[in-house]
Amino acid sequence: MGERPDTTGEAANRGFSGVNTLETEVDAWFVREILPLEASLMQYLHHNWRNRSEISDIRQEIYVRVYEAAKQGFPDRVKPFLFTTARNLLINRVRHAQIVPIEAVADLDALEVASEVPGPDRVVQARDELRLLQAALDKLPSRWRTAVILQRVEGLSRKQIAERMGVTEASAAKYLADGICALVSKFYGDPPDMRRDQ
Amino acid sequence: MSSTRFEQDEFPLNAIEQRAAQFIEQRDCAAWSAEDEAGLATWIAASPAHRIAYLRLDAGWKRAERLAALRPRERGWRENVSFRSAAKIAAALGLVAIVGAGAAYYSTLPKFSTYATRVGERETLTLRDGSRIELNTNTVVQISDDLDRRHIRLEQGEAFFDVVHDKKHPFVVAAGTGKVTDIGTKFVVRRDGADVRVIMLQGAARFDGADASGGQKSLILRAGDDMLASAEGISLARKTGTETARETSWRRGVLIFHETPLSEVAEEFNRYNRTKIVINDTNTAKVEIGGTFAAANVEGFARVAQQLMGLHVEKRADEIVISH
Repeated sequence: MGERPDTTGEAANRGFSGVNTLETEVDAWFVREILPLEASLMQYLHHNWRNRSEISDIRQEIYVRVYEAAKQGFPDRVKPFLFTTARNLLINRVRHAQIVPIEAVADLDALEVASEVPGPDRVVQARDELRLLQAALDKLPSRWRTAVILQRVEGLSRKQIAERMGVTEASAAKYLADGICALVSKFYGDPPDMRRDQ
Repeated sequence: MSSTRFEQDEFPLNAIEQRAAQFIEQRDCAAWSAEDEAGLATWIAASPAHRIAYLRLDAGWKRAERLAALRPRERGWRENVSFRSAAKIAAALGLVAIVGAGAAYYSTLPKFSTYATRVGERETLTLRDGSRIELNTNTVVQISDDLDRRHIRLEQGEAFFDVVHDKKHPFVVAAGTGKVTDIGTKFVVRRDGADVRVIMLQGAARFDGADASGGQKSLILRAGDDMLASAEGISLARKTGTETARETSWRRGVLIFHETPLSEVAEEFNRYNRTKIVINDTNTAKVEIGGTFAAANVEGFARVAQQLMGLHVEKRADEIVISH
């Protein structure tokens, strides 16, 4: 494993064996600059793409494009860059679909200005973070939520969680893995203001 | 490996992310060998999509380490409850000796998660059934981790409850020795040491608590009722809509005063701010004021006291002294 550069952000904490310096830098950039925009991005996708079951795949695809582009050089303005990438991808999806999903894109004109729209960007302050995590946790289905609580709050192992929940270890592993996916999606992807009107 | 559960609708998980999560779960929750580490590295190197899914989930999951801060305070109320329910079960079975029962029942007890606000903060929690809890400044609640999550304990401070009624699963708020059980309700519960105050905004609820002689008392509260349970017993006042709106204005972040003595005004502001208002002389304490103020804006209030009311205001490091 080579010398690791002095980068900031969580990605730097866990290096991958045999990973080159450039990728480690891009990893850190991605975690630091792109992930906090996920709530805005998800709002944009939900607004512009009708088929909800495709949205997490689309998000994934946008991230891959952004990541690959960043390897060639970091964009000056991250948010417009992310939203331009998202817009182009949505337009391509419409164009290349075998059957044109007439309702897929809500409003193509709206796509043109999307990068100017202020979204719920998250500048997470340390004390807000716990609040956001709690809010994310509260939205999980009970089995996932219980498994995540037992792991992150109580610090239990998979085996102990299985015992506590009265399920097999394989089930506990599944609840945990699904819980990780769901928690992270709620944490990064939901608008930070959880307050709802009556 | 796609999930076929109902959760799929609300939480569309894609296969790559699920695989990344499996690696993370294995690493953090079970045994993790050098081969596992190599397996992860190979998987990540196979595709940028793999790498990104891993990066994202790992970053978010690491952040979630902060949830450890929610670990309920170890002793105290859980033991309390275990003793009481053990005693109850023992009584029901006609048993006399309950020695050791507390430990035996411990594992079957519901667990609680703690949610708290600091001075000046407000927080809204939405429960799975749609019920909402708004925490006022400096407030601690515990919410049961069982499936319905409708057992709440107000440890300190004040909270507004908007309860989605469910006959089969009563929504219970315990505060000190008293408890409120909803009958389709919006209400506020405030704790001040041993005193418990309940303001009913809508619907009805049952309150169970101790009266002055220590006996159990149960009463039905309706909209407009302002109930205070203290060591002196339980008292009930009727409030108009304007009055209850004033009492619950903290939900909008403001304090509303109407012919309120400065001593009380200071007490209210001090609940929400680290900078405390201090009033040393009784004449100043009796001055009555009215108006609407942002709860966090204690400096603004001090300016009003100085400029409009002609009081003497002295600012120190973390207090504001008001006098004649």
